[in-house]
Parts: sequence; structure tokens; C-alpha cells
Amino acid sequence: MSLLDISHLTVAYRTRSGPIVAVNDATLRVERGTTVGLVGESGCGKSTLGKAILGIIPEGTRVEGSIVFDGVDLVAADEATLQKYRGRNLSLVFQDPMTRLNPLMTIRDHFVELIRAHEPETEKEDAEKRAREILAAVRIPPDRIKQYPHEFSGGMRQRIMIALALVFRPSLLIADEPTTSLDVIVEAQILELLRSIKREFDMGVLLITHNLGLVAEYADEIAVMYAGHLAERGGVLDVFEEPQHPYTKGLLESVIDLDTTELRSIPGQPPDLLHPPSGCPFHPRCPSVMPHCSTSFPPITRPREGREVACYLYS
Amino acid sequence: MPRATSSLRAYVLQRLALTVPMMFILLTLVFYFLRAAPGDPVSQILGERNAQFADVIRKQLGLDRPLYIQYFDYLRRIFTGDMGASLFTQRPVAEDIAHRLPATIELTIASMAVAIVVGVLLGVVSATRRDRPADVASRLTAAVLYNTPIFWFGIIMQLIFAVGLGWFDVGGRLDARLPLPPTITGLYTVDSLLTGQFVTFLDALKHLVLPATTLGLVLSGFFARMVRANMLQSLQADYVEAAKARGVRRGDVFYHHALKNAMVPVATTIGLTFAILFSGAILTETVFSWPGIGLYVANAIGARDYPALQGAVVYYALIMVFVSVVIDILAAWLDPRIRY
Amino acid sequence: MATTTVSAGLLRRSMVGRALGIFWGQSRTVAGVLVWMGLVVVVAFVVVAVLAPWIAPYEPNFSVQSGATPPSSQHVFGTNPIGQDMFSRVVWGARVPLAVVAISSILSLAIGAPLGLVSGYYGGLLDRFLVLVMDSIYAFPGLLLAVVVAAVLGQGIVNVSLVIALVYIPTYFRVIRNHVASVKEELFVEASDALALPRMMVLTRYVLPPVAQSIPVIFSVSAADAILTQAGLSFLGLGLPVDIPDWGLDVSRAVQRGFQTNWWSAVFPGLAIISLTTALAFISEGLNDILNPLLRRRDTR
Repeated sequence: MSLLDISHLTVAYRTRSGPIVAVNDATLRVERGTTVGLVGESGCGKSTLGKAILGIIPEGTRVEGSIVFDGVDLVAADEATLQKYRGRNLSLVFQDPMTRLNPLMTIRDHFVELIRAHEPETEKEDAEKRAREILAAVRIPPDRIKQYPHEFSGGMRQRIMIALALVFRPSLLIADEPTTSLDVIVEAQILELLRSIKREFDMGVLLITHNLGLVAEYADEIAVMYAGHLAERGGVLDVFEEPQHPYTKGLLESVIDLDTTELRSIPGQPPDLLHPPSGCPFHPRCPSVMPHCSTSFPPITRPREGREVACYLYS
Repeated sequence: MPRATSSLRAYVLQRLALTVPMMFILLTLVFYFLRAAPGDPVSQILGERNAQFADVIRKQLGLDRPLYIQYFDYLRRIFTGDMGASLFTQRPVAEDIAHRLPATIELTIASMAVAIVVGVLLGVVSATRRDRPADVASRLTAAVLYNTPIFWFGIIMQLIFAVGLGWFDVGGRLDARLPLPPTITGLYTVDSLLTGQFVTFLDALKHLVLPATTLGLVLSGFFARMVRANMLQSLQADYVEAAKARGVRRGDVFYHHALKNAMVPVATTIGLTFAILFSGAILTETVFSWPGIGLYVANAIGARDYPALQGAVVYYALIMVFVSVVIDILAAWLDPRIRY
Repeated sequence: MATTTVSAGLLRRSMVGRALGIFWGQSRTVAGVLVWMGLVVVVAFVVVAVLAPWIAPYEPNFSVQSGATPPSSQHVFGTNPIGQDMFSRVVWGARVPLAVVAISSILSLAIGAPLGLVSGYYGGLLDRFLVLVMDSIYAFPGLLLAVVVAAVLGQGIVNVSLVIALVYIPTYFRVIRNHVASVKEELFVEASDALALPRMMVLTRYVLPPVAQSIPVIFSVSAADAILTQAGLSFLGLGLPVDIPDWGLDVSRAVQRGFQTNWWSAVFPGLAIISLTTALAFISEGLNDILNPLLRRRDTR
């Protein structure tokens, strides 16, 4: 059994202008001890997928399909159950560490609040002791525990966010663009940190990013998302060597080719999710478009073991 | 944390330095409006008929001297605490005001308490049930409360709760038959409680409830608006979502993350609400015959008691400056980011 | 040059179009309903004030009864202790706050707006000085300021309007100054500055239109307050000559005559004040919701 087994997940926001299907019939698995890189352009629904796993999406949002985590379907679970899982078995690290910590609370208060939310009988002193240990593990001087978020740099705040996420040694960590707002050196430090923790805890990691370079470096598997749909899935090396979906090919080609220093990009714009194209949402931009691409969404095919692609080219 | 303390002290000093120009501007404005504005207070006081008598009064008040000499004299007298004598009570204005200050402070504190409790409740109900019937209902309540003429509201309260139901008293601070509590703070409710005079305490409370509720409810409309607006923002804040994602308890997310952050901007505007409160206090004290500075001002208007009016205004200016400094320090204490 | 003219035209059209679009689009939301309800009530009061001679059944200053009589079919709001018909007085009384608000708002705008524009656009020492002065007035209790100035100026519609105008100059100044200062930072203003367009042109073409948007909001906010201040002045005896029917004065006279025995001559003028101020407050609440993008609900993230 997989650690996380998402199947046929659909998430539709309700807005004044009509429903927005941010995740559309997505199927994805994350195993223990592996990192799955979920890539796509901004607005493709990858962040929504991460939040849907924790159940922190606006009230009134339509969610269908199943998210089975450790044998429990989180879509069907009630709020109390979800709350027990959040921060304990399942943790989420967000993109923008500058705004994710409460400016009025010290770092210590953040930890004490979290620990006592899941283990109410813990004494404040014990909670602080645990917090100091975990801060040291992410290389934040534990003596700074009584300081406020604004006294730390962006990279340090992200390490504090990671420390908060790791207090209960979760079996799954969702990292949503964890390094996008940080500079390259800090980015490398944070990702190395995540990699070593993953090994130590035998954790599953879902790394949500738009940066293919990060996926190549740190992920074991890759899942490519376009306009709410999963376009292609497979081992990182396999997909990078031999991309199959035209969108994946386009993405890989738009990374600068160091030999020719030529920057190519996929022509056209990402679709408007309020009025998505019919059939395969990529067909208006697709170089290999066929007549039936605009009528229905292609079925998922498995060209080989561990590889999935949703494109009529292969069915 | 020595570093935090010293920077808070520096912040306070900086704030205090800023109040000096602010005080000068206020005092200058008061001077200008009262003496240099078109129209003449003395002929306002006496009417056109007593031209001769008017000259005597002008001389007595020093209004025949050049304006700039009057101005420096005015400043000098304020800093020595000499505000002249009231034309009506014949006592020094400073003494009159000092005598009435505790009544106004008691009313102000009680009203502020009512306003904050009711205002925060209404605002929180609104923000957490956005665009639902409860939100619309509490927004409308807040709007109506804030836009009610306070003197009229006071009369209605008197009609219902004093005249009709007889629960509270129509006016005054204490039943004339009861002995005054010994002066410790000057607040009757506090002093009577401190000295264990429960009969006096209950009576003082019976007198305080209606004016404080009147003033407090009107002001609560203002707080409700601000709390709602700030809560709506803080409920959408990134750190609130992050706290939810960590499985922090709903109550903690609501109180420690959303409400506390919403209260910081509300606290910084409490200084402005004092301006509204003092305006309201003039009318409330008049309606409820509450013997504070507001009633003193109202009487001064009726008696054309110009030194009393000026003295009261100068006092209000000093109080406003004092309040704004206290509020800023309070905000710095609430929000660690301001301290640095 | 040609491109800037075109973009300015586009900007202006889209701004007006957007404002109207937002407004119509919101007419079914809570904010939209609030604005419409408020507008209907305010317009009703204006109509009543204009048509007072035809609507009021009695001469407001005549004693038509020998003393206070409770509401009856003849006098729906009763008569006051002097025997005047309260309904007629309430009808005529609508003229005072509307006239005072109209005159004082124009005055506040005429003084506060240019000062705010200059202060926000040029900045510097002048800006700091003006802000300090305006903030000092703003922080001072409005009614007390009005009382002091009214005591010196004396009675009358124009004098009361002057007093009220003075109290609300800082409100106009603050909003417009802050708005101008933020618009100034925006790219299109910086760009036109870089193109060395004349400052007046930049000001009138690029800065004024977005800032003008906030004027209805300030007006609706300060108008309700102005009416309350005017009523408070009248209640304290600093309003208008006694022969002008005035809601605040009527309440004050009812109190002096012992309102327990003629509550109706205090209640109805008060209800009139509340209806008008609350209507204005609904307009400002609604406009604020519609025009304040910060508070507009985030649909998705």
C-alpha cells in the first residue's frame, strides 16, 4: 500500500463568476522514502492539490475522488480527524516564509501552541525543550527561540517553518514551492536539509514546484500537471530522458540549452480555468494536435512500468 | 531582554518629542479660534448693547493688547497652570476642571469598556460570518448605533430604563442623601468599593450604568466596523492558513492568530476614538446631568463663560496629546515589530 | 506623445467604465443593496425638504394647539409644549441638515482637497507641516472644536456650515493626500514624469481621476458625522435662530420642558436624524466595500 494514494481527485472552487476546476481527475501516488516532484506553470492547480490533501480549502469547494493516506480516506474524513493529521502525520511547508509566521508570537509560542494542539498534556517547558532540539537540527540557534519572526531572515524563517513541520516526524511532507522566494544558496541549503530529513525519517515528500532543475536534482519521481490535469508521470530520469507528452517536451525544451544558449518556450498562454478548452486542455498550444484532441480528454496509457501519460499520441 | 526594553524606551522618548509640536499647534489653534477669528467673544458674551461694559471686560481679560503679546501671555499662563477665573463660578478654571475631572474619567473608562466589549463582539460575529445574515444584522446594528444622535439616545434610555422601568437613575452621580465616599481615585464606584461602602457603590453604579451604556453603545458601532474590517484581513492572512495547516486548534487560530493581529490596528486608532468619546461625553453629561468637564463646557456655553470654555478646551488638548502617546506605547507593546 | 494621449484616454474611459461596472455588478450584493437603500432614503429626505411647504400640514412656527398633545389623527407626531405641530416641524427641519451638509461639504472639499493634492504630490517640508496641523485638528474632539468656533461665530446656517466645514477639512485632506501620495508612486505617473510632461498635466490627467473616486466615499462618511455634529450644536444651543425648525433644537426644547410628559416632541425629530444619518452610513459602508479592493473577497488563491 502506498503512503499516499490520490485517485480521480477533482477540486472545484465556487466563485461568483462560476466554478473553477483547479484539479481535474488527478491520480497520484507517493511512497515512503521517495520524493515526488509535482511540476507545472503557476495556476495549474498544483498548490490546490497540496492544500486538498490537508483539507485546508475554502468552505463550499467541491471535492470528489479519494485521497487515501495511511489507509484513511481524507476526503471522507471529518474536520476533527483531519485536524489530528495536520501537522502531525502530514505537514505542509508553504512558499512564502515571510508571511507564514504570526508576527505577534515568538518562535517558542509557535512551537508550544503546535505541540499542545496535538499533545495537550505537554508542559510548556517540555514543549520548549523539544522545540530547541528541533531548531538545532535545522541549524537555528536555539537561544533565539524567544525572538519574533521579524528578527529572522527569509531563509531562517523557512527553516523555522520546516522545523515546525517536522516536530512530530510526519510520514508525509508537502513542500509547496519551498524555496521560490529565497536566493539560490539558501535554496540549496533548504533542499539539502529536506533531503537529509527525508532519509532520516523515511518520509514521503511531495515537492510542488515550477522549477524542473529542482526536480532533476532532488526528486525520484515526477508528475507534470497542466490546467488541473496530470499530463505525465514517471521516474525522473526516465521522463527527462524520454518525455512523451508534448507539454512535458515543451517544458524541458524551455529550460535553457547550455550548448546553443537558446531559450525556447511553448507558444500560447496557459488556459483560463474559468473557461477551459474542450477535450485535452493543452490542444490549443500543442504542436502535435489531432482532430479528436478537442472533443474528449485522452485516456491514461501506461507505455511501460511506472510510466503514465495522458495523450492520444500513445493510445 | 535588555535590548527590547531600551528600544521601547527610545521609541517612547521619540513619541514624546513629537507631542511637543502637536501640543503647540493645538494650543495655537485654540488661541486663534477664540481671539483672532472674525467675531468677538466679548460682544458675543454681552450682546451689542453694553459697549462700555464690553471695553471694561476686554481690558480685564487683556484683549486690548497686541495679538502676539496676548499669545505669549496665553502660553505662559497655560504652562503655569493659570487659566483665569470662570465668569460664572468665580473660581479659578483650573480648580473647577480639576474638581470635575474624576467624574469625566469615570464615565470615559466605563464607556470605553462597554464600547470595546460590544464593538469587538459585533465585529467578530460579522467577520466570521461574512455576508451571512448574522453579518448583515450586526453591521446594520453597528451602523445605526454609531449614527444615533447621542443626546437623543440618552433621552430614550432615560425614558425606558429610568422613567419607565425605574431600574436606574435619570441623572447625577450619587443620591444626595448618601455620604460621598472618601476621595482616593475620585471615581465614586472605585472609592466606595475600596472602602467597603457597598450601598454607596451600588448607588454610584446605578447612576453610572445609563450614561456609560449610552456613550459606550454609540462608540461600539465605531469599534465594530474596525474590528470587522481588520478581522476580514487577518482571517485571510497567510499565517492563519499556515496555523490551520499545522493542526492548531480552531480556538487558538481564531484568538492568537486572527483576533490578536486584527486588534493591533484597532488599538492604534483608539486615540481617535477618544476624540469621538470626548465629543459624545459633552452631550451625554448634559443629558444625564453628569458633573464632569462636558457638563462644565455645556454650562459655559449657556452662560457665555469664555475663560471657562477656553480652559476646558486647553485641558482637552492636553488630554488628547497624553492619550495619543499612551495609545502609541500600548500599540508598541502589542506589536513587537514597532518596537525596533 | 501620441501613445501617452491614447493611453490617457483609455485610462479615463476604463476607469469610469470600471467604476460603473463594479457598481452595477454589485447591485445584488449586500454592499450594493446598502447603497441603493441609503440613496432612496436620502433622496426621499431631499424631496421632503424641497416640498416642505406642500407636505407640511401646518405652519411649523404657529401654535396650532394650546400646548403639548400626544400623536393623533390630526397631529400624527403630536404637538410640542408650545402647541406647534411636530410633523410639520420635522418636515421643515429636514432643510437644515441638508443645507448645512451641502454647504459645509463643498467648503471642506474646496479647502481640504487642494491642500491634500499639493501636500501629497509635492511632499517635503510643506507636506509634513500640513499633515501635522491637520492631524492635530483631526485628533481633537470634533464637537468641542465646533463648540468653540460656533461660540465665537454666532448663530445662523452659514456660520454653522462654516464651523462644520472646519471640522471636516482634515478628513478630506487626509484621504486625498494619502491617495495622491500612493498614486504618485504608481508606474504611469512615474513614466509621465520621466517623459517630462508638465506637472499640471500629470496632476490633472493622471493623478486626479483615480483620486476623485474617493470623494463620494469621504462625502458619505463625513456627511453623517456632520449632521450629528450640527444636531449636537443645536442641542447645546449653538445652532440656529429659534424661528428655524431644527431637529436638534426641538429635542433640546422637549428635554427642557420635561420630556416625560411630551416624549413625542423629542422622539420624532430624533428618529428623523437617525434615518438620515443611517442612510448616509449605508451608502458609505456599501461604497467602501465596493471600492476597497483590499476587502474584496479573494475568490481563489
